[in-house]
Amino acid sequence: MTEYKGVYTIALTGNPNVGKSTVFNNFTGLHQHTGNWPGKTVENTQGVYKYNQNKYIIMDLPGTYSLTPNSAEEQVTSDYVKSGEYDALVIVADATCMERNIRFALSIMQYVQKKVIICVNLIDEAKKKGIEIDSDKMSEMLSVPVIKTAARSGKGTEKLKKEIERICLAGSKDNTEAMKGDIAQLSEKILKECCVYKNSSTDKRDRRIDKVLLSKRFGIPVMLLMLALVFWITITGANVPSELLNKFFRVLGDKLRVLLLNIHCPDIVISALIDGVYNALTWIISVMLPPMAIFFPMFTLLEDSGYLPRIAFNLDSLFRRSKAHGKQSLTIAMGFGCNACGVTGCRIIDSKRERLIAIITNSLVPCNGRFPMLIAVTAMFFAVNSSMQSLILLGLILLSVGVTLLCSKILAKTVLKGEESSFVLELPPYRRPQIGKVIIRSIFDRTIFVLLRAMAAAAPAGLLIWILANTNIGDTSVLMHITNILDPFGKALGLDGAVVCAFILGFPANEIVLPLILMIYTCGGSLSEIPDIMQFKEILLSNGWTLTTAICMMIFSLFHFPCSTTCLTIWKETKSKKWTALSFVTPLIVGIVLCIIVHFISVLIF
Amino acid sequence: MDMNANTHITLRDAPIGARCMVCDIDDGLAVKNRLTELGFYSGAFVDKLYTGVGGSPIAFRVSGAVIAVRSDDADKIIAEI
Repeated sequence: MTEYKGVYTIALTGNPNVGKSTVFNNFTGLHQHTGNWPGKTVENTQGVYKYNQNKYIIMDLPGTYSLTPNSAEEQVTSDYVKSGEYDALVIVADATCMERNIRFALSIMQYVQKKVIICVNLIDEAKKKGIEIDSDKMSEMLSVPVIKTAARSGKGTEKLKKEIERICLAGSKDNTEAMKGDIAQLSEKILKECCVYKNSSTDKRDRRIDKVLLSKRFGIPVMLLMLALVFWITITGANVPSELLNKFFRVLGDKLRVLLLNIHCPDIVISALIDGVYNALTWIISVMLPPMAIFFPMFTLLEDSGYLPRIAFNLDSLFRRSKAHGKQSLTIAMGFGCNACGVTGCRIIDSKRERLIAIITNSLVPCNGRFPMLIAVTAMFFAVNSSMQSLILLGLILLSVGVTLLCSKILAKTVLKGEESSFVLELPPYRRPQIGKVIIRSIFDRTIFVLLRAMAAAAPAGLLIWILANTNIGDTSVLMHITNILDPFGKALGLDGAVVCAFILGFPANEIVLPLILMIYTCGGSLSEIPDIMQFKEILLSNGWTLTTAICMMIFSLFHFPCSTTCLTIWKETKSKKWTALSFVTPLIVGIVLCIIVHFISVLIF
Repeated sequence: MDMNANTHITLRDAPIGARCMVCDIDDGLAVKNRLTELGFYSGAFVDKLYTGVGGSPIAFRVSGAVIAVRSDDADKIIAEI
């Protein structure tokens, strides 16, 4: 057990987008975890680092624009900062936006007279824009240490750690003297004497980019194009890995079977393990995982680059007309990655009413787990090449967004009536995302987590199906009984009992629905090997699938109840059975209604 | 021509590319506090940058950052060109 000389608590605060989390991650690496502040649905991110035999617990407070709180997040930050229950308070400022950041720092220093360190971050970007900060002069004027950092590359972080230790061990000067007078005048003075702007216009590049991305003519088309491109890369990129994994697991599966035979494992157990569990698991890994592993990092890169607020800007009028909040476009975008993350992301909407609308409608947009399902069905029944697939996928997304807007409007006119709240959005500077770090973060945070979850859901589900398929009541298996019961309902939707059964069992994780359909059709037993896409199609066709079935399948994939993780998250965020139930039921009703309509139309036509 | 006149205009009506000095924000505006914190205070200079489809939202360069507000809200901010 390591002995520490001392344990200290550091609080990190600052405006949003100043690179506070970069500093935090730089200090703590993987030694961090996120929970909730006691009694609130606000994230509490804490981490630990060691320096000179001392242990430092560092709290990454939610970003805030001021100490007069406008939201639950800002309340938490404000309360904690004013409480003084830390050994040092690091105010992270953005060197490219000193005017506002200095005012912010000063407003904090009105309440906190000691233990303050100002960290001027993004110094590398400031340099590129011709901005120079005289940190020594600023430190003198404010009587607090001022450290310049470029946390992305680690510059200045050692110095910051040293300064933090100094404050924790030796205490700090009282800065009340320096703070005398009007804040506005003081901040102007500091700006004038400590910040040098060599160029008159420091954000030329960003403004040039925004001129295109925010233009009335090009803004939305570019957005659609980018989305289509993301899909195309996901689909094409996933093909080769999928095939390789498929082949690998086939070979492995055969070897496992031989191994089990050699150790005299009873046939029935071999069948349960290989045909039931192994096949379901490996199908998920080879078909579902590669698209997810590609889509998620790409999406994160887009987020990190700063593009998403531009989407909110372009779509605000559209959302407003549907009586929804402009930031809902952002929560929808987050929902593409994972519906549960989208729901948590709804915290960016301050007004409770509009936040609920965003939460309830979030699952109407397909998540990472459902994309592979949509891609597979599209590949089987509709499209010849990746470009067609991307376009169809784009069309499906547009449908989802359209339905989301419609549902939002309906909710706003019925159960969630009320005042429209204001929309103030910061468009941060474009930043080049750290590709390597994003990929690693995606792999560890998301891909592995989802993989484990899918495996944890697929293994038991696969086993369950195998058991149901091989246990008989009368002369038919239990599985057949169940699918027969569900069949009338399924057929009304243009699907069948097996598909409905798979969706129900797929409640824990959407990724397992397709493998479950496969297993139910092959009665959990006669599958001797894992099929590729075209063989899968044959199996579907031989079980009565038509083009209509494929369409209804895609519609139901888009619009059905949220997965268990999302439901749990909604419950945690809303703390209300009523809203959680509504969130469960809304997409389901949409799916049922649309499927019935499509089925009806196809019956009329054919 | 009378060069003395300081044109008072709302930020919604100001032309794109104009640099304005904020005079006052209508007290009735719910987000007045938030806007002030973000840099829309008396005497601050803001540049009007972009508008969305239908004139809303409007993006301004203010206090070194770019902030977007809806046109209805921008209509409550009075400035001088």
